[in-house]
Amino acid sequence: MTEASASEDRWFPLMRSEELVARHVAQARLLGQEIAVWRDDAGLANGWENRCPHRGVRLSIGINDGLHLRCQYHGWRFASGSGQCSFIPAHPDLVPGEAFRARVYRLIERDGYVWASLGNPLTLPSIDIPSGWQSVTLRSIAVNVAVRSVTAALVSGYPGAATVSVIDEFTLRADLTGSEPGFVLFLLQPMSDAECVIHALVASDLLPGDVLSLLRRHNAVLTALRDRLEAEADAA
Amino acid sequence: MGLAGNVKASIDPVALDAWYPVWADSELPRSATRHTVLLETKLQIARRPDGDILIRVPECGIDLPILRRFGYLWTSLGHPTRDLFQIPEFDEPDRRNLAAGSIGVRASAPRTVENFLDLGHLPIVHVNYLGIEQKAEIKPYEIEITEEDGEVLARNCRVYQPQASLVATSGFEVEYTYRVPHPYCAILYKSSAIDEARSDVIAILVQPVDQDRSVAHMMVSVLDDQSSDKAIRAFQQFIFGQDKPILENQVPTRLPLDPRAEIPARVDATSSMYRRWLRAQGVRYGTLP
Repeated sequence: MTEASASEDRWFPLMRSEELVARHVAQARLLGQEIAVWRDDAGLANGWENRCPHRGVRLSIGINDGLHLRCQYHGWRFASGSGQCSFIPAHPDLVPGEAFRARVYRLIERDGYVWASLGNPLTLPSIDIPSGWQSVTLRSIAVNVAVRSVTAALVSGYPGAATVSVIDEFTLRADLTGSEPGFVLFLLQPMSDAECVIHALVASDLLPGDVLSLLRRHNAVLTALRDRLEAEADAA
Repeated sequence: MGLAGNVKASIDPVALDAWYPVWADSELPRSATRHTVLLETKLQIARRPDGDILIRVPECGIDLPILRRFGYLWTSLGHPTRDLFQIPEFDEPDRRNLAAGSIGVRASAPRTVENFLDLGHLPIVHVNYLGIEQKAEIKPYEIEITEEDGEVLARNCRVYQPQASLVATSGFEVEYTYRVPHPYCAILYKSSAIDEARSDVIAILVQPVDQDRSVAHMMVSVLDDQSSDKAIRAFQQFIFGQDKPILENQVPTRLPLDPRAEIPARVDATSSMYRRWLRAQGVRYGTLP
């Protein structure tokens, strides 16, 4: 699909950094690829193809021991960073060769998100917020429709926003007016041709004291958006 | 013939003409009708009040051939060119023969068979039963295609097992022999815990539902005069229950036959041979080229 090839070299957010907790292995999807995402005890986040190179078992059902990811099928251990297999229980004296390696994707943590790329992006991901402003991230919402459907729905209007502008194919910005000035930034993660995740954050020069009600309001708007888009997709 | 219209073009001739287990003989009472799917074709299995068994494709009303072997009812949607393989031990009078369970799996038939042939996973997936992590090393073993029958045969496979079977009272180094006489069936001979000169026989007889789903029928023929049928079945189902989540998390669900698709270690000699053997026979169903 053309969407995948055109998008390989860019960064996409997979989750918020705070969601990637110690000793966990998260499962994410990007452009049809499953990614096992895990953090080692030194804090480094890894994003690997979610299949053991040995017999194809999802690494996301494996064990994160803080240094390695251990496959549930044969106990092979793969080192954080390189993905190199360092131990095969059936052959404890063997030093596994270069070919015994998990496929490693580019992954980086910046501005509160874990970002991944299936290709080789030339720049770093960033979220531009004016200096001195505050921001708060919303709960990410998975939607069973294509990115373009979410984009079209957001462009047609967002409650409390005067304008919604398309920054690029996967990034939109809603400029808020009235009692809550600032903007909402939408970062869209294409899981496949028919599924995506809306990551969003609210930025303002002065966030209201009651952040919880702000989170609730935007969450309600995005949840309703999801329900409507999925119902439309089901009907079609 | 009516059946031809029902059979998908994706089914290769080897898979089509093979015999397949579709139901446990002991689990089909008189006057009962059961339904299952073989190679994407719906089947109706019935035992008449007089005891006669019938396997029919209801969509076209055609009756299929039937074999009763190893405690299971077998049929074929094609034209079997040879008789089903033999398990001579099944006829030894002092053995307990049991249909030990039929379990649906979201995995292709060859992935399910390969898991059964896999030595390296025993101390990991079946830890404290069929192996322990401290003795997980698998020494080299013998692997061949037999001249006489053209079966995959792995001999002299050794693994330390703390609870090799229900009657094992202590851990011991168990010797395994594997036979693969059919693309989707494999037989394991393992040292008996009560008679070191003989072997327990466990077979996995896999019914391909479609290319990504199967039913694993388990057959045991064991030397065990102590355990109840229920306990023997429960042990086999417990063991398979440990494999099922692994099988259902293998990506892709079909078995890749290209040797570059997945990286084997020496311990995987049987699986590598099984993949080559499937490819040489032209088995495509449930595999990737």
